[in-house]
Amino acid sequence: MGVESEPGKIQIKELSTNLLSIKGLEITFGRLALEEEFEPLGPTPSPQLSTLRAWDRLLLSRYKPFYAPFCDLCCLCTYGKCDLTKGRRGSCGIDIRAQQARIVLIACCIGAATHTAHAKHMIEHLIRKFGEDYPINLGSEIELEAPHARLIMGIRPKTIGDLKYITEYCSNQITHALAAIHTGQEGDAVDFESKSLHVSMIDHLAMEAADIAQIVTFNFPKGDPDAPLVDLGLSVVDPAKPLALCIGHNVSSGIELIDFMEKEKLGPPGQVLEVAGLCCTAHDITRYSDQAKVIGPISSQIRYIRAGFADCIMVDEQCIHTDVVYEASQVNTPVVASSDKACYGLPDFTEQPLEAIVEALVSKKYPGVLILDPAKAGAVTVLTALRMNSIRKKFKIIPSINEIAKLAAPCTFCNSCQRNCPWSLPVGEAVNAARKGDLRMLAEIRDFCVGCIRCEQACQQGIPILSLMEAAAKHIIAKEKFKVRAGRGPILDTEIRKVGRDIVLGEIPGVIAFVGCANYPGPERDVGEMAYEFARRGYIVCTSGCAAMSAAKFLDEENRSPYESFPGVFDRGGIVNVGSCVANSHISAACIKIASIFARRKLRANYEEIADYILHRIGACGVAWGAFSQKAASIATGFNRLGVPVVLGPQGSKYRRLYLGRVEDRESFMVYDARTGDKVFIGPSPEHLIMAVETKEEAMIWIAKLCIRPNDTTKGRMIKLTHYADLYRKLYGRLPEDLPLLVRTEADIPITLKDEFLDFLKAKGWQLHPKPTVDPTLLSRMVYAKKV
Amino acid sequence: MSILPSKHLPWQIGNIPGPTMALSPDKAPKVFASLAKRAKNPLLIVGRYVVEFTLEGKSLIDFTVEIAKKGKMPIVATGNSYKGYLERKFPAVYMSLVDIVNRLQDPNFTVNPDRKPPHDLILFLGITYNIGSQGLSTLKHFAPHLKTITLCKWYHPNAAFSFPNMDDKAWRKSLEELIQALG
Repeated sequence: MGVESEPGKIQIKELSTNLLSIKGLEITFGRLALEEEFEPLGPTPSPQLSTLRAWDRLLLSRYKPFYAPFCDLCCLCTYGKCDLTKGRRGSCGIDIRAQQARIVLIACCIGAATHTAHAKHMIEHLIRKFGEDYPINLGSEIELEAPHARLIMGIRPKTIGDLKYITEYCSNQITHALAAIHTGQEGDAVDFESKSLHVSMIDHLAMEAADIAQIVTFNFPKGDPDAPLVDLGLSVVDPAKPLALCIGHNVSSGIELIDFMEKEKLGPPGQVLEVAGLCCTAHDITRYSDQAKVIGPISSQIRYIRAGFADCIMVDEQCIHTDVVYEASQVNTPVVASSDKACYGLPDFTEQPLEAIVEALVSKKYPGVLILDPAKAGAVTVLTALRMNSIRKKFKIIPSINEIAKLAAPCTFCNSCQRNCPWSLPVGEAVNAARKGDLRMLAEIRDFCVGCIRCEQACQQGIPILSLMEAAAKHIIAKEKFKVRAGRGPILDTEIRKVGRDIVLGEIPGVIAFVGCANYPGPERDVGEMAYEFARRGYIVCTSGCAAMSAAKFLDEENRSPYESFPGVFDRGGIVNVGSCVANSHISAACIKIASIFARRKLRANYEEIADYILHRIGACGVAWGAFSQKAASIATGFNRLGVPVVLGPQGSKYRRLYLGRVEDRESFMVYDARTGDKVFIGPSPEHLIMAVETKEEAMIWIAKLCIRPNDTTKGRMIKLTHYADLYRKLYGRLPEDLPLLVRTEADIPITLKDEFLDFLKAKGWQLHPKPTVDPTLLSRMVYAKKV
Repeated sequence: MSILPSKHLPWQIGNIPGPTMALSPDKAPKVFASLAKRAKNPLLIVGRYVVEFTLEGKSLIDFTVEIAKKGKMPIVATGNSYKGYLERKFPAVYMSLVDIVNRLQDPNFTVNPDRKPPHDLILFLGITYNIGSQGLSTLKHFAPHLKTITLCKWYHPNAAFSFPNMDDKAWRKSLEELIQALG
């Protein structure tokens, strides 16, 4: 059967009446529509933990797991701690390699579980609100509504009720994957990796279900390239008005908040009450109302709370600073927690009357309350913000410039702050300079600060270092007003029809997705600079989540953000903000759609073939420049199983595992030519499946290189090599050493650089490659000639 | 000038990997030079900071060139550092850090065509702390045929040998002593 879950079943083992006699009758209902024959059923409907193990092993025989242990011990059971150095095994028999793979699996399970739980909560709420028969209609330009559901489960959801079956399947798979982590279960590193790949594939499925549900019911943009530009930054909110601030990822309560304002005739956000968000819930409230505002990614949370603008904070789930209640209490801002996953020790007021809850918050009887009813949480937040505005008077704990030196005075320059900073920023020097009245360095390092306040935790003098940075950079913050395009959701089928050919042939040099969090090695705007550069070069650029927000902070010479400089269309030179974290699924889905719409490959339950197609033909590359979370780990790993390589920033090496190719191991880069069955060498295309690099400039070289595919036509390869060589030359001043591996024939050489390339290649002893295959595959069953 | 506490604790204080942490001997420059001279196939891997840091007016990259010349070892330049060697016409090799670390796990790999594999001593200098620490961890666990030394001013627990945490003045002095001791 197509789905493992059992939506409804009647079993009659034996029944005997005067009229009839029944034995062994089983009637299943509720998923017939899901399993209708919209396509022939492929080989792997609703795959289980090891169904796609053979595909994973093929991938990982080329891109071998590379481990960088973050900890030499295992402390998961009471035998431990076990020292796994020098080839030692733990009490359970596990070695360091398998232990790293096990930790990666834990991260991927956490990521997938987080999105699945998010999706379940969201869908259950929406079913209560709209009914389970509410249709999935993504508009006239999207027929392929749920590419992941079709590809993985082999089903086509038609109503939001159908989405429940998807989350049930996801929960089931995550449970199995988690069980494999238990002591005395899986023991082989590659098998752990296969499970990580599996559960991360599930993650994309869950994200898709969550985003489809909210798009169709809340009428978010349905792939609209002209989705509105909305305000983003620390200074976009009118300080003269009260502010309700939403933090997190599950927008259900945020939408209720806006609906309550309308019901109470408070007008849209910004009229009487400002509504703004931090993290992905910010994307989603602006998909609902373009008058709502985005403050920024996770790195802006503490600094914005301390700035005192928010009159009530509503948190939902994920990526919330877990001492949000304490931080908010410092500026007299009440907190409404609205998710059972993040209760923060607050009293449960779900069943209390609205007025009583507001009174409890306004009177400061409680610093916050838990309300597990999205509508009530939204209403309480609105009413509390309106009343607290006159009480709080925007009380803040960011000091004035005049107070900085006094607050910095206790600094002993012990440097504990620098040694606790994830980026070893010279915080001590900056505070010490501020002590002497020079604020420039504090303002400068703020640009690189990821807002984690580990420096403050380390400071033995209790100096509020982040607050000092904010005060020193007041003049910079005042200008922090940018434009981001509201998340447009899925890529249109019509867009895929237009660009599919050019992507597969390489004439659009690549699709690059800037995703993930804000633990950046440099200023946030670096993401925007990279996005700008690739859009300028004619790549298709996608953004999502925190990265989509950070990208808005790069301004060109005319003070325009990348979203103002480039169209929001999925086409050459477009910058496409798909939306929040769960909208990442639309980027991977775009690759699936290309295989279906352009190449007419069958999607239904046909994962292996489609992933093989994407790996060898679609020049896509993910970039998680500031990845920090477990969700980012599963998102990236899900891209990997689908054949999409990912570049991580330097902190990404702490995920403990990369998938790296070694092109000198030629056998690992051999594929079948499906037309002949011959084995052919494809060169480093792509060279790695997931890697980490040190600098933005180095990342750009690798991004361009990882868009190269064996299926590129000579024109496509020429275009890709032009960009790769140009970016390489920009940084290093010469041509890349590995050109001989990438130039297959003279026709691959960029025309304007022909002489230079040929001289270079000649000096390197380059030889013509065998004729490139037009139909590369790792799967022997795809060979038409039946040679293998 | 800063006073650095606990100079033999990991520079990033929370980065405690386990019971096996780097040795940071007294007279480290001389000890490291001695190890380098005895090594059959040493290699110096450098990162972005060699073109970003100067020590009292002297670029860090110039220290690396002297170390490589006196220690008769090739340089693999990671991050943005490669250009600095091209400008100095020093024959470094560009690889990303994860690429070179990945290959060093293989006892049959060598950057130096004039010496037989494996590389038996790897010196790290000027690499971003976090990714450098992870690279050293890979080599600690999966490259038993080699030893690692870090020449950064930060104590790196995942190396076999490391300088202690120190300020720029002490760092320059240590690098100069190392170069002198190399010959």
